Amino acid sequence: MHTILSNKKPGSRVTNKFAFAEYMPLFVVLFLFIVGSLSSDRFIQVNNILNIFQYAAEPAIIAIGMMFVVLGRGIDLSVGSVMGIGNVTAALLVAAGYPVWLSIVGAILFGAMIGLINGILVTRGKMEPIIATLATMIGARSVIYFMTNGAPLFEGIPEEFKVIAQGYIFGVPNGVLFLVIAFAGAFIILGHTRYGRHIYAVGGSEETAGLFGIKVTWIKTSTYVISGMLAATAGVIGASRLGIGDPNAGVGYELIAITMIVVGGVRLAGGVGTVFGVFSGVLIVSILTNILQLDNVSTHAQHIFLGVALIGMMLFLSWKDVTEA
Amino acid sequence: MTVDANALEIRGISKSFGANKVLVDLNLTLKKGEVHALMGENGAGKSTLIKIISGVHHADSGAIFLDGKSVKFHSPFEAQVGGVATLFQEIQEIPDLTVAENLYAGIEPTKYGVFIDWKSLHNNAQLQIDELGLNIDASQKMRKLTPSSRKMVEIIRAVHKRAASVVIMDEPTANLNQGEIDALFTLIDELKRKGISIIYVSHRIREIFQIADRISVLRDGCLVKTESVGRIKEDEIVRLMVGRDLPEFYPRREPPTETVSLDVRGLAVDGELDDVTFDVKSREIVGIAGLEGSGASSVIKALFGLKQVALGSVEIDGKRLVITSPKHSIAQGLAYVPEDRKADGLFLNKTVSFNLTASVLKSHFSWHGLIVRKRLAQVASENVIKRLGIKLSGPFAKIGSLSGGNQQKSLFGRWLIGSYKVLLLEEPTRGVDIGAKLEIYEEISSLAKSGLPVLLYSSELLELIGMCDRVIVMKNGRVSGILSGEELTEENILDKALIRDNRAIGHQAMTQPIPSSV
Amino acid sequence: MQKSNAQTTIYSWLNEYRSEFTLVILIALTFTIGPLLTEYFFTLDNLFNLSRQSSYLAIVTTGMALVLIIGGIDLSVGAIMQLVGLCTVLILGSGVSAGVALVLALLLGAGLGVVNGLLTVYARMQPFIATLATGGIMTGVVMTYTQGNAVAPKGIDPTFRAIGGGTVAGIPIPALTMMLVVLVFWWVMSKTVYGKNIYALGSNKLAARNVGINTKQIECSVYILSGILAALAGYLTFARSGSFQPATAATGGTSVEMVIMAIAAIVLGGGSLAGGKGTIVGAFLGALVSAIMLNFLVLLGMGIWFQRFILAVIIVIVVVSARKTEGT
Repeated sequence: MHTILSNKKPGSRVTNKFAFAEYMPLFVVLFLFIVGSLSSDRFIQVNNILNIFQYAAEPAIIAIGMMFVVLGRGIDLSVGSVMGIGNVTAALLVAAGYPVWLSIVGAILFGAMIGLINGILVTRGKMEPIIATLATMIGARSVIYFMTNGAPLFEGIPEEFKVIAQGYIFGVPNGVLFLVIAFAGAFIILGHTRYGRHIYAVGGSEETAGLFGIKVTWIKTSTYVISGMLAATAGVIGASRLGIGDPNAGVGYELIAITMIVVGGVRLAGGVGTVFGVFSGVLIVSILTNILQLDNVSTHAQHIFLGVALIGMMLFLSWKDVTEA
Repeated sequence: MTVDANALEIRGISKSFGANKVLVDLNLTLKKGEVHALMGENGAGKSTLIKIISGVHHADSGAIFLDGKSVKFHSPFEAQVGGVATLFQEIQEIPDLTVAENLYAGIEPTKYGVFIDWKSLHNNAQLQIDELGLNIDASQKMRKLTPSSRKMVEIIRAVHKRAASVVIMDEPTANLNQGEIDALFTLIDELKRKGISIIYVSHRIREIFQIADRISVLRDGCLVKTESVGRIKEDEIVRLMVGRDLPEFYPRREPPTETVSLDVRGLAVDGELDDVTFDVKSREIVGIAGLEGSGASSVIKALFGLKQVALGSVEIDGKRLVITSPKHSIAQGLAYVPEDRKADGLFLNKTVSFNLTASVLKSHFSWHGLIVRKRLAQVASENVIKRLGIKLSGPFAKIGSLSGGNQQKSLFGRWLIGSYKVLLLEEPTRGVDIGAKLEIYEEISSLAKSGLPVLLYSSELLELIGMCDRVIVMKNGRVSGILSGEELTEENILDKALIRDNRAIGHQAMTQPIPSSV
Repeated sequence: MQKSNAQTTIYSWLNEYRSEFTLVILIALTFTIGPLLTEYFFTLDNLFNLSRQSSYLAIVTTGMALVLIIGGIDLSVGAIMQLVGLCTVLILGSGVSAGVALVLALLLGAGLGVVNGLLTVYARMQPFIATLATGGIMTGVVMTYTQGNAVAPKGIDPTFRAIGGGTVAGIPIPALTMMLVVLVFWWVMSKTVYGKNIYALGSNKLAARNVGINTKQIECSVYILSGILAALAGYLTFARSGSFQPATAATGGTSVEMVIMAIAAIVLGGGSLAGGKGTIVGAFLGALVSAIMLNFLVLLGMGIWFQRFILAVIIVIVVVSARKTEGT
């Protein structure tokens, strides 16, 4: 009887292939480092490396929020607009003379609220996440334009707000610090708390998770709230970094964030993906962007490369699936 | 004998869906530590009863008593906490989490109340598994386990984690092979010894005689009879279920001709089939048997073009079959009924006539393969509906709203329009009530009689023995024997199918992971 | 007995096409109430405008409906309109006639559809991610080339503007094109084997394969059709002004808007993102209703951003109520 139930001898061939796939992002990072140093001698300088990390902070924070949603078998296309909301709200509030901390809290709460709307539309309204978040993407962007009349806000932004993203700690830009905090937080929550594991469970099978006593609706809604808060936080950092309230902030960031997590091995169907993987995904996309910037490629053209990278990664993944099947 | 305490008592349960009365004033008692089999045709009310006990549905009237106390559950989870664990037909699992995480999902041990205590999680889980003498690694992902191991993990979770006193099993053996079924029965015996009561739902009569203490038969929402296993016979159960006498379960067969119709030589599919050689004569029904992973379920798929065929030659009536795609196979005269009708066979949100004509629309009911000739298609499908006695609720009735039996008949009926040279059937009566089963058997047999060679894959040995002239037994991707006449018995099939080499099983287990998708 | 049978038949027929009937009633209502709200509604000028606006949307929606019926999604249709519009204007600028430009535009749309089809069908990427990426690339190309500025070459074939702004028998050409497209695809989807096979595929892909339908070929062809129809809409859109205006964030990212309006129109018309459901007529009526709603907002003097906000709210209401009625 026991022999029939045996499953302890996994074929070694299969195991090796899985390991290879898991470390794949790492190899890509290394490869990009080599490409980068060959294409420009400014690449391997400490300043440039810090630069990469600093500029990675905003998209990375959004990507982490996206990761929460996608792990729970959802998608959040409104992150770009919510980033804009965070950006503009914080700028307007500090410019109006509110304390910096209060303005930041206000901006993040605004983001959380839009996330909550997404969550409720998806769970209670039974809307497909793509449609619900596309609608809030348009809705939130129009709210930004009500708030600003479409014009950037330059004046009245105090130094103490700008220093948040422009400052340094021990010679390291604050942005790097935000990046590290965000990833450490995600690592602990997703990997080592019941809440985090329950997100994986819900993404793996909603029905089963419900049967296991996991509050599926609550978990799903909360991932959208987290995504909204993180996107707004990224917006705040952006406003502080440039000292401007920009109504166009965050346009196209949904594509960047999705690219980062997909490249990092998060499965879009939910339930699979590691924080380490997303970290590699963020690095890959950021280094690629940096190389393109050093080679003076325009922002719009960078989007072309992003799209190509996304398709390339998906092609690699489906090829991997075929060969492993 | 001491007083037999009742673990579960159901008093006067009634339930209707709209005008449809599904359960009528039903009473049932479950003794402590007994295995109570629940039998009945599809639509008799078994699954509704289970769903009411486990909190999925709510009864219109009546009461449920657990250990003498009145209970009312609002969800399967609540029922589980209350001591009633239900194993539904589909395995409840999170495939990408580990066995341990699946066992403890929702009740993970924590450190400082926040962080998961991985060490005690895995240790406790492994302990639970080892206690039952199962060879499962708790740190393995569920996805990588065999179906039976996954079922076992589900049972452990249901029984041990929530201290269940009643366990409901709905067709637990549906996807298990004989060896795995034996393992499950050993576990059930163990549960009985611990005083846990089991409600066991199955269509397989033989299985029930092996494991159950008492049998209750439901018909049309009423309890017809409850009886101890020793005091009731197989044919009486069947009679109670159907409500009439069955003259003969399997249709009478006529001897096949000697002309070979389907000739398969050296068929090979990478990692699944190797050197499979057999033939089917005209008017003959040939069965395929084998355990999960033996390749038995791959033979028909390979012939139909659903697998990459590496080697081999197939001839139909002396003409070589070119296997590329289902489209091409159909064009060459193959008709195929897949084993999973909902996943692979039916267009659930379409009408019956859409489903019946989908395969022949282009070839039979169109103008130059372009424009549909609706009237012709309508007439043809109405004929099939009449011939098979498929019951519709309206002109736009979606096939998904019909009963399992009517769905399966429609799936089968698809191949009654047009002419085919070989009929390939996989599990033609899975999850179908006895009435529909008999009608399908009758239809298969009359098609064979008309000269059509039939290849039939089934996991129900009795069905193979009852229906087939010869049965091909598969093992490790090869033909291990072809049985016919007197030799065609359950014992002989199992003898040829069972593998006694441990290593081969280990390998076999690994070929069965759930395919991952991006 | 006979009579009650006929009654149930009529009842189930009404039930089967209830979204279509609801929309027809809704349109009739707006046409009665519309003139009461604003007298401008029934002017020839506005009706022309309305018919043009609804024609771009309805053409794109028809293509999207096919994609949704097979259970896919095409997020790149807006970007295809943009890229094709830009290329058309550039080609015309080099002195080519409007007719040749149309053929080239449709070919380009087909080519972009082929890319989407190959990625989703043969490389087995999720359609939404594949088309999000290809759409992103197309937008990137457009923005890199134009840097956000309008492209208006001189001396292009005057026929181009005539197509966008002209009328035949008193009906604007884009509106005529729309009617033709809707008619053709209604016929294809309800009367041809190809159409039935598309429904079969959308209802259950594995079952479709098992009844001998070449699923990959059909899936791919649907993305190509979606690309061609988006290209046609793009051509007509920019034929109006005779120049190309990129959709930037400042103008609201029209490419995303087109996608979501098309999806909303289809859901409004009884379709579903799960596939296998929806009709061309339903999608067309849905597009018409959406266009009329937007037209009202414009006539009532709402700013563009308020319109967008209302659009988002309407989409939410439509989809949620569709879900709720499906659930019962």
